[in-house]
Amino acid sequence: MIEGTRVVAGEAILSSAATTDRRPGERSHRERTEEAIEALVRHHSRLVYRIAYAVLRRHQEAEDATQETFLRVLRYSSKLAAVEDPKTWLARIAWRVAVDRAKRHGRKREIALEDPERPFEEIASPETPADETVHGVQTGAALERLIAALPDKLRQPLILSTIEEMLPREVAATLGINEAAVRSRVFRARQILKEKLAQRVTRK
Amino acid sequence: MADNHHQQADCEFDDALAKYARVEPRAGLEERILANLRAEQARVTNPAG
Repeated sequence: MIEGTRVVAGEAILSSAATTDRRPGERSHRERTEEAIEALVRHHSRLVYRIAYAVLRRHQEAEDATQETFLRVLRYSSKLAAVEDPKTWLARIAWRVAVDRAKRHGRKREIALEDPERPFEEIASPETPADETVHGVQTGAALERLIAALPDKLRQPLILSTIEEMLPREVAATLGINEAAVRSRVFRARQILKEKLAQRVTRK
Repeated sequence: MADNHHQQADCEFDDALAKYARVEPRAGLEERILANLRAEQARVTNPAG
């Protein structure tokens, strides 16, 4: 009997330690929240990373922004149950975190500040197969600069639209504009980029 | 002929744009995020450590 009491008391202590003095109902709510956050991480961490990378263009900064995004999710977790579209909600947080970081670090238009007329360097790495190199790599490098030089209004919907997981509706919700505006701005951005790329090819 | 050239330019442009966004995080990102979240929760629950 005494032994039995000890076991029950021991279980109570363990249970108390695990739940930090919460009642069973509260604990299950917390567990549900943790599960919901873990599901967001499992399903959408790559999307968050890509959004961050689209803005910051550096892997380490994109990873830091991804971590910060999920810490914010944890902080706002009391709101999670009321969120209708978790993916878009998360995308909006990721976008805001990345844009804030870019502003803080003053790197937003770093590429655009370079001489726009500077010829592209051949940035092919030793790992790049020779047959795919110079043209494709140069186009990529040129595109990177030209996108950075676009006005925010066109660049923002374009870079979000290039992320394969993002639908136009989600891009619109992330930026707080309507879907028609996303489509027309992306169309305009693409036109500008194509023209500028064609001009560079013609000039060579 | 001009149409072909135009189409090829369009394809190259679309490829380059897709590559612009097709980045992959370092392996293990999910686990690093979850570990960070657990550490943050532990810190909030027990600030004294």
